[in-house]
Amino acid sequence: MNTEPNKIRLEHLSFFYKDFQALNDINLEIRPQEIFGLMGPSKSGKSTLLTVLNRMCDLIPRVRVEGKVWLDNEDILAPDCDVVNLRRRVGLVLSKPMPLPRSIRENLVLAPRLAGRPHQELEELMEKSLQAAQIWEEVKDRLHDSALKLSGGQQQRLCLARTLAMEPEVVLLDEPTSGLDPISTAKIEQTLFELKKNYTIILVSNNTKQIARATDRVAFLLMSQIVEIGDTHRVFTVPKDKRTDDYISGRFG
Amino acid sequence: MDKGKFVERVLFLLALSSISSLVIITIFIFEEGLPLIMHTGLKDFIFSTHWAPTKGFFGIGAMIVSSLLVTLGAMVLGVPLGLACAIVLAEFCSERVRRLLKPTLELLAGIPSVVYGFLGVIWLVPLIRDHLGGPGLSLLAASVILGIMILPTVISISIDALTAVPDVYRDGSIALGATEWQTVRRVVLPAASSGIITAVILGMGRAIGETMAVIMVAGNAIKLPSSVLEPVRTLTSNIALELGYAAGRHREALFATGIVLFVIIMVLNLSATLIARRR
Amino acid sequence: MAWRLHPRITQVVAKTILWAFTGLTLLILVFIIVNISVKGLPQVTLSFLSQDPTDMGRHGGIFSTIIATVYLTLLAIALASPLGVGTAIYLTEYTREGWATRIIRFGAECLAGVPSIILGLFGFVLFVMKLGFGWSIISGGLTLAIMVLPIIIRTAEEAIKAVPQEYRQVCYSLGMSQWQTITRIVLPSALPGITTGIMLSVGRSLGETAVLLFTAGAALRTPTSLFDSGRTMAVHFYILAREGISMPNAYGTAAILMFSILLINLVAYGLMQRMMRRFS
Repeated sequence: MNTEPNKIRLEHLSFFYKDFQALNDINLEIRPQEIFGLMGPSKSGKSTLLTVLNRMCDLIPRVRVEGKVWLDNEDILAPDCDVVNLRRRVGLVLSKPMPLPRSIRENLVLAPRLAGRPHQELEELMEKSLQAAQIWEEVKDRLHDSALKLSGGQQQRLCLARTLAMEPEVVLLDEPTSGLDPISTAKIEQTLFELKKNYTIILVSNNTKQIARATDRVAFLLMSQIVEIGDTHRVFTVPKDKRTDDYISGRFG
Repeated sequence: MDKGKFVERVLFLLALSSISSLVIITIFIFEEGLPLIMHTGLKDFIFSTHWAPTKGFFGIGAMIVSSLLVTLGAMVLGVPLGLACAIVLAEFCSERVRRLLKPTLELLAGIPSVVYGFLGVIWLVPLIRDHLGGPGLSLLAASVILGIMILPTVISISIDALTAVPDVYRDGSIALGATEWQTVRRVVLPAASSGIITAVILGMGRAIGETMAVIMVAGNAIKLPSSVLEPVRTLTSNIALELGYAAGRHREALFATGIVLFVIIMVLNLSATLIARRR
Repeated sequence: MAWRLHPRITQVVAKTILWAFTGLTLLILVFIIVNISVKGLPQVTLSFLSQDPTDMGRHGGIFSTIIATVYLTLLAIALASPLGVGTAIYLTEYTREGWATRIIRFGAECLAGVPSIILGLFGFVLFVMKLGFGWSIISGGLTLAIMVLPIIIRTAEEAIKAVPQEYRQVCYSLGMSQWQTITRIVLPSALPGITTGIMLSVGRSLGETAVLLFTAGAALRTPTSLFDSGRTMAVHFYILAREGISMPNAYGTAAILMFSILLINLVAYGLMQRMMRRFS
């Protein structure tokens, strides 16, 4: 029944803030169970692309979106798309770790509970998500402490766990390791690798080394357009476009 | 989805409460007071100083003048004091002193107007009577009390206006060798002027609308005062003093007094809003 | 000639004057508080608080006026809080700035400027006369509710706006609906600020006289129903002082009135400061 081999497919996607065009005719396919990287200098449109994929862009006034975005066989830009349900299927981890001012436990179970998950499943769901985000050992004895007391790296993993607790099909990560120390970064990258088995992951970063380490395929964005798409290894070893070469070798960006 | 729309509708209805209260208040005050203004004629009602409601004379000229004079007096006292406090708090004191003084001064706003009026009667009125002459209950007493009562309004809005001036203005001026005071006078105050004007206008609104404290200290005689030591009756006092027993045309005349007061206040508020928006 | 003086000297003079004015203002405040305390607090005894006034307030305590004050304030707050908080939620969460928000804000601002005597007139003609409630707790409570509505709207709006925008983003990104986001995260975070507005409204209601004189009346009996007249502490104090019935009792009432308002305002101020600090 599922004729679509891709998890997400973007067709001629363009995005405008007032008169600024943040995305220009983007065509992209993202396969199930891969880590797909989006790299490019800041303001190139990477984060904007993420906000379209779970319609967080709806919250920004005066934007216009053109084109189509297919999640499985559903057009998520269609006016009748259930946005709340879409966001449950496509989870987003924001670049700045932002725990809600609640206990660690409540950060994890609040959204699943409101989404109607039965109470008896919540404990298990919480533990599973915290373990997947590699933070369970650090917090299992203090689940009722305020989440705001955690360190920056712990907060970022908590936020990842919180998104996983919704059991989404796709996880969007916007610069998940910006501002983190190398050890926390390594932990997060390790986590992503484990998660690949069950999730489709899209990772935005302007750290080219991280993209090279952590992703299977990558797209390079520059000034609202895609310059190059391909297997990460191929793009980093034999880039087809001169601009890609310049970017990954650190000549700009 | 439907639930979201429903909630939005309900909240929209709740949000209309303030504007609809305002509309209903306006309608009722005008409905009760306009017939008398029609009957007496707007000119006679506003300009005549002959107020003898039981005999059919409804002129509130003296009270309009008294209200304006009392307000003017309050501004003469309250604006310099309030502005001085605001400048000291916003520009000339340390963060620690500010954190102590600001809430302390805001306490003034919490003291009920009847307490101000009461202390005016006990302390201020005898002081005026014994040292300056007259009955003590006077235009001067009302001005002083109102001047104190508008301080919180003037202070808090002026502080907001002053702190809204960006620090680069101050730094630029100091870097050019100006003293702190020169900076405040030549740079900060002009930059904050529209906010300070708003503060003054809202203070005026507060003064002209105040009732209980004024009743207690102003003496309430219906005539044009020829000196600050004479008793006066303001628009607000007129309403409060006579509403308890008024009936028929007399009661209408009190609502008509209310219309005049209401219009003055609305003009003041509107100009404050316009000035604040221009910023 | 002032402009020929050395700028340093001008500065010293100016600062001295400004500080002197500030000192004078503080002195006035201290005078008011000390005066009321010294003359009023000795009157405040347990029996003053727990006995009904007798002989027009010449003797006895102020119990019935405390009860009337509590009833009126509670009624006003119960009516105004949902309206005010609902308005604030609508203004901050449901609309973008436009003609609707402008009209609503304009209404609240103007309502805040309406003098209490006008509100008294309005409450008198609508609730007391037209609707036939007479001088009563319900007439007074309804009018007070209109009076405090702008305070609640303004503080609640400020409090809700202070809740970081990122909290809302997080909630939406986790698939929470707008209403869930507001009720589970935004309102609980803004609660101290909303409480501040409600407390300030209580303080304002306690001190109000002009509105209540013409809507709730001045009956000294303890009100037993919504349609009974009731005399609040502020009205009682006004009548005691103005008619010279009993200066000691007037001072005692003033002391209780003033200290309860100051205490409420201080706590309210502290709550708001703490909340703002947490989010900044």
